[in-house]
Amino acid sequence: MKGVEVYVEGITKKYGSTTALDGVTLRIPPSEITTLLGPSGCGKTTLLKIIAGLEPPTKGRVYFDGRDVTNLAPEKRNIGFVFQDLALFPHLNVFENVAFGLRVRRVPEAEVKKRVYWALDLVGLDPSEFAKRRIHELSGGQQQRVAIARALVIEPAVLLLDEPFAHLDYKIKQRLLLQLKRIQRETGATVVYVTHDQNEAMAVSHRIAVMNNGKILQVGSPEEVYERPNSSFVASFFGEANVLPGEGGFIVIRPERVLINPDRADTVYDAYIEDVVFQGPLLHIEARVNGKIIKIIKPRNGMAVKPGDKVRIGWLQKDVRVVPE
Amino acid sequence: MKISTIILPLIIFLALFFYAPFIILGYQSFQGLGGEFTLDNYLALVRDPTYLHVILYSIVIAVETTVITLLLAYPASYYVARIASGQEKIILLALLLTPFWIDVLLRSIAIKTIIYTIGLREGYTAMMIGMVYEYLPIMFLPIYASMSRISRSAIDAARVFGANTWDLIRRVIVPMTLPGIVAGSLLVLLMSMTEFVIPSLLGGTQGFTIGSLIYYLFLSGGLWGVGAALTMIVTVMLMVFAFVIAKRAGDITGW
Amino acid sequence: MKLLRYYTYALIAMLYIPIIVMILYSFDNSKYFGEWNGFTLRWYEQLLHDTQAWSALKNSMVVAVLSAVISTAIAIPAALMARDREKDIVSLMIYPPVIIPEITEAVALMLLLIYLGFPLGLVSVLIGHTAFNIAYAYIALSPVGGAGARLAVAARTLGADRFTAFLKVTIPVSMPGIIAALGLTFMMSFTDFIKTLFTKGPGFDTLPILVWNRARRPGLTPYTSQPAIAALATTLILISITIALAYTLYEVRRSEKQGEL
Repeated sequence: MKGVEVYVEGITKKYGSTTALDGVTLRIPPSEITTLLGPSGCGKTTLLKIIAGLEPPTKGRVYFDGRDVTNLAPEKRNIGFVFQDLALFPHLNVFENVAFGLRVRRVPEAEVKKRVYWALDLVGLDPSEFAKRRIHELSGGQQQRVAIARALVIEPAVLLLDEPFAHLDYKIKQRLLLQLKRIQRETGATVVYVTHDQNEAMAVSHRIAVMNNGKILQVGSPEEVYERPNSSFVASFFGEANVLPGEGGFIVIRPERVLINPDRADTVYDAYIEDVVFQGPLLHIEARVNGKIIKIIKPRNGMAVKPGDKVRIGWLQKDVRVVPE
Repeated sequence: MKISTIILPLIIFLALFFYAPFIILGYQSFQGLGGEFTLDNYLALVRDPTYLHVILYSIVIAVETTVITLLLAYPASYYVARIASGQEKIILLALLLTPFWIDVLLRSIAIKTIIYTIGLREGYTAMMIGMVYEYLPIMFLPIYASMSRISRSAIDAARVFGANTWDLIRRVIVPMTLPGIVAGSLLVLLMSMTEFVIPSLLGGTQGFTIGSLIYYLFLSGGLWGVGAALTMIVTVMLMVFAFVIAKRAGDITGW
Repeated sequence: MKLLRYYTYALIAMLYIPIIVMILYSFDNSKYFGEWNGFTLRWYEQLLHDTQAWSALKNSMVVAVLSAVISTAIAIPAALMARDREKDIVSLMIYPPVIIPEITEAVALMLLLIYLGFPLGLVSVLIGHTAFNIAYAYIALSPVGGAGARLAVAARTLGADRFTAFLKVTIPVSMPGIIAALGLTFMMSFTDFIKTLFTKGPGFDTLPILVWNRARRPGLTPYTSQPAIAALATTLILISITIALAYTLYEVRRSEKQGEL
């Protein structure tokens, strides 16, 4: 399976007088996982629904491999969609849920069985054990897998996922994220993944598009976005950041790049240690400089600071990012 | 906006057989005996003390029914919602809901057997027994619903802060069940005002209410104009009543 | 607290004592309530040969079944497929049929039918019942409407067109609501009295109308003796309770199934 390239051009979506999306243009490369990341209400789910054809854009076009699909009905787009609430069919068992997209495509029975079993295997559900189960007999994680299998079995041109793991336990979520990456590698599908959780985004994405207020602020690999945020919003939404007023706007310095009692630094301040919190192998330190709190993260070994200590903190110019706002 | 074809059957059916009839009714209410436009039908209702008496009498019956059913249903709803639990609660609820499935006509006949057994005959008392019997479950339900919504911790908190039983009822339970009280009273008041079956079967000579009057004017008396005017007034009055009180209730109770 | 319990029990008993007493009187070998002349089954035997009652039962069943099916069929697309803004319109339209007193809508409909020269009988009664039943069917369907619409969207992302999604997903998923709507509208129609009274015209009687006619003129004929009326009413109550029980059992079994969710 080879994924398509999705291109959305100048998409605006208005609901009455509120603007959900404001002229969004984004190229989603084929056979990669692209994440739409942003706080709730930023327009990411709306963009996903417009790609799926579940909502018409007020303005703008959607292209699959250069073909204009803006006015194409969702059932004609050959997409897979995993809904936030899964939307599994309660009146059908696991097998029939997964088979649904094949049945409406009039796929022959033998082929249906083969492909449903393939899809269930792919998501790690043993077909002989699960095929006949009712949906309500499954755990949350298992239901999630059925939803993904149902979306994958039709070999979609693009797989769209709307915060599919939001309600799961941390550990199950981690496992499913890894599995999603593996499935994507094996199938070569184009995947668009919507989340508000930066950790999920970091774990799963080839590319991340950070959104806020109906606009895309920055697109890039997780490393690029983390290391070179182009705004204070991106810096603080994606990872932790100290955002300080500086020349030409603000300067952003990541907590792990702040040095304590440095031998060599480009910028140095006197500071008081305000608070120290143990987080496993790391220390989360808050230091006060001229009435402002600076967040610092350091490995625990060899670090002996306690609240009230007077220290010098500083950083190297190369670790500082200047952003306009 | 564009209305799609899937809701069209519903809209057309209701427009034709629910809303259009009221337009005809309104038209009829301004028709004189010779087919001319007139206000006489409405004026007759005010001028003629018989009509006015029937209307006021129906309101009195409705208010009495509301007050009695409220007083009777309130303690029982407290018991079922807050004290009864498990099996007992389910059985009590089922017993309170089952009468809904039995038509008012049949229940009126059942009440009649009781009336006769205790040596009464049709009349005001018999009618009021019938009204209370009919509307008690309707009053019970909304109060029960709001009673169930009071959180355990609200009552515990009141106790912790030193409220005795009377304080608890007056300052916590009654205010918190106000939405249910208003909804139940409104429902019973509006429905009982035009009740037709119970007064007819149990009221005897005392059973001439708005419902009976409408029946008489249309089906026996042939005074359609006055009947239409009365029906229009009742309809408009109840609609306004329902909306105003629902809105007021919203202000009072924060719905 | 004990006092409150006794009070509640007594109040609930009050709801049932009249019905039990009425059932007892239906076995009473006398002509009037209040006098007990020994046990008899003759009122029920009489009912078996009561052609009027049988024809009224037939009329009631025909009207109730047709009205339930038609009103549910009309309400289904609106309740299960309509968009939110369309639903707002529908909600606005079905509110008055629920709160306006039945006697006024009955009178209004009667006037319209007479103005149109529409013959009063089975069809006019059916129209009247369907007009209020649409509202109840819509209300009974509403709880399942959301899920049905949501899952239809999922079906469309999987390649089903609008019609297939409705047929294969919305309808099966909404089955509990559809059955609830059919049950509710059947009962509303089967027990309806007032709307029928005004729209039936002469010669078309349903069971409630028959009960009314006889209860208004007690003692004139064997059929209208008070115990005979009690027997007829008891039979009707049995029919209502049977349907109500079947419906309740269905609901309980359904919620048990869903309880595992």
